[in-house]
Amino acid sequence: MESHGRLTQFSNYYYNEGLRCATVNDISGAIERLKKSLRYNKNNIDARNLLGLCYYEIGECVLALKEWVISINLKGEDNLAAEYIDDIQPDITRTGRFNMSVKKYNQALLYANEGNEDLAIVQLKRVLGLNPKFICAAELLALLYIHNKQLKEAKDVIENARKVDANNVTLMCYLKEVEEELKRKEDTKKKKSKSDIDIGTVSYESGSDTIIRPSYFKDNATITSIVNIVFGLVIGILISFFLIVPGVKKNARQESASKLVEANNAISTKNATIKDLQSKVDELNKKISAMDQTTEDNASNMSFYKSMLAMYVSFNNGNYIEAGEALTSINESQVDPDFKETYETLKVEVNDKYCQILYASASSNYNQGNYEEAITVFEKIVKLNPTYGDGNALYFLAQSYRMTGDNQKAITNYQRLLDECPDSGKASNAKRHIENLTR
Amino acid sequence: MIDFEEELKKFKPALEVEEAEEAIRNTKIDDMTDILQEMIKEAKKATLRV
Repeated sequence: MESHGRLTQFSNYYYNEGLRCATVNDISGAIERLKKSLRYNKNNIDARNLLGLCYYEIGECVLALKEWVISINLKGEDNLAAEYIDDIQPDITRTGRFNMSVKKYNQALLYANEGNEDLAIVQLKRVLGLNPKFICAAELLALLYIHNKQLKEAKDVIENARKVDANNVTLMCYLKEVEEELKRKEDTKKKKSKSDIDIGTVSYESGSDTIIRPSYFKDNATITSIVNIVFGLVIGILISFFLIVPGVKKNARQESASKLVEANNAISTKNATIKDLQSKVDELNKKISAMDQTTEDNASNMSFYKSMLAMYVSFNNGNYIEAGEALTSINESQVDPDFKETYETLKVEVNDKYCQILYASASSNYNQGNYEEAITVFEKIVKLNPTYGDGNALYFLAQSYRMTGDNQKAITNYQRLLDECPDSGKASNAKRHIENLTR
Repeated sequence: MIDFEEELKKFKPALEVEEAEEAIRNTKIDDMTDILQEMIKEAKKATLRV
């Protein structure tokens, strides 16, 4: 327990150090100390929340979100992390400000690695427009400016970023490099100025302008004028060739780079929107198919209850044929379990009456030699109740088939009678007929 | 003098919101207490073996 107490003390010490760094804008220092604090005590919620805030401050929203989510998991109630997450929620959606800036940064990094530094610079400027505190983006932009010898721009970017993270080591290295380079340039300029004096020029201030003129004049006016005109023309041509044309070219290149970046941005935004819409479409399609299924089920249930009602009404009115026919159209799997017992009772009563009528009709047809009609009706009876009349229905069905010359079906039904009603009075006859027919 | 190529290699892609869930799931939050407990367990096992 004592060791645990000491670990907690270390954790608190580093938390306090981290807090102190954070208050003087030393975010890198704060992050380093807060990570140490959490290494000593992962349950130090204040340290974890502050670490999240530090990440948020340097534009690393996903890392901030990660720390806050872990913080809420460790302490669910009375935790500031929940408020922080609520606050940044609108910006961290798929098309939110932070996520777009991260996507653009990753794209810029890709451009830089591919050697498209102009595109990368344009993209990074946009990133910093969306998320001015995104230190990684500032570091990369400064590096690209230094590589392109745009030292003043690099210095501006670094100084702005250091307002957020004062002691960032990378930025400090870049700044040192920029300052050394600027100093080197300044020295070269001074040396050049000195050499001008050596070759006989005199400089003096006139208002805010510096005038440089030769230290002595020689009056050879005509030749000098011609030489000057020729020299002026040459200089003019050279200026237009070396200064104006590259400028125009650079502008055109930058404009096309900017347009390309814009097009890429539009594509990535549209892709994100398409993804969102596609997921909505999928969701709606699922809902539609679920509703279709429900509608089908409802229609089927409605048909079932209609048949049930028709059967019940017919049965009550003594119209047993209609009741029996309605019963055959009912799908028994749809019968509600609570209603099953009543249904079975009703079914037995209806079938009994229906089969009596059918059997009378079938017997009459059979006796009059109308075997085809008899077969149709006996089939109905056998379908409802295969053992009806102690197997008589099956026996006379087989007989009817035999009489019409369909011996195969006759044998099948005799055999069925033997299988389902082996004790029937007609069993011995059936056996005999099978023997005769198979002989 | 900064070596541009080397310096550029230090930059890694930033995490996007879509990757947040996986990043949270893969985070190890063990602290010193967890490590000490693990060490005590191992020491106990070693003692039992002896």
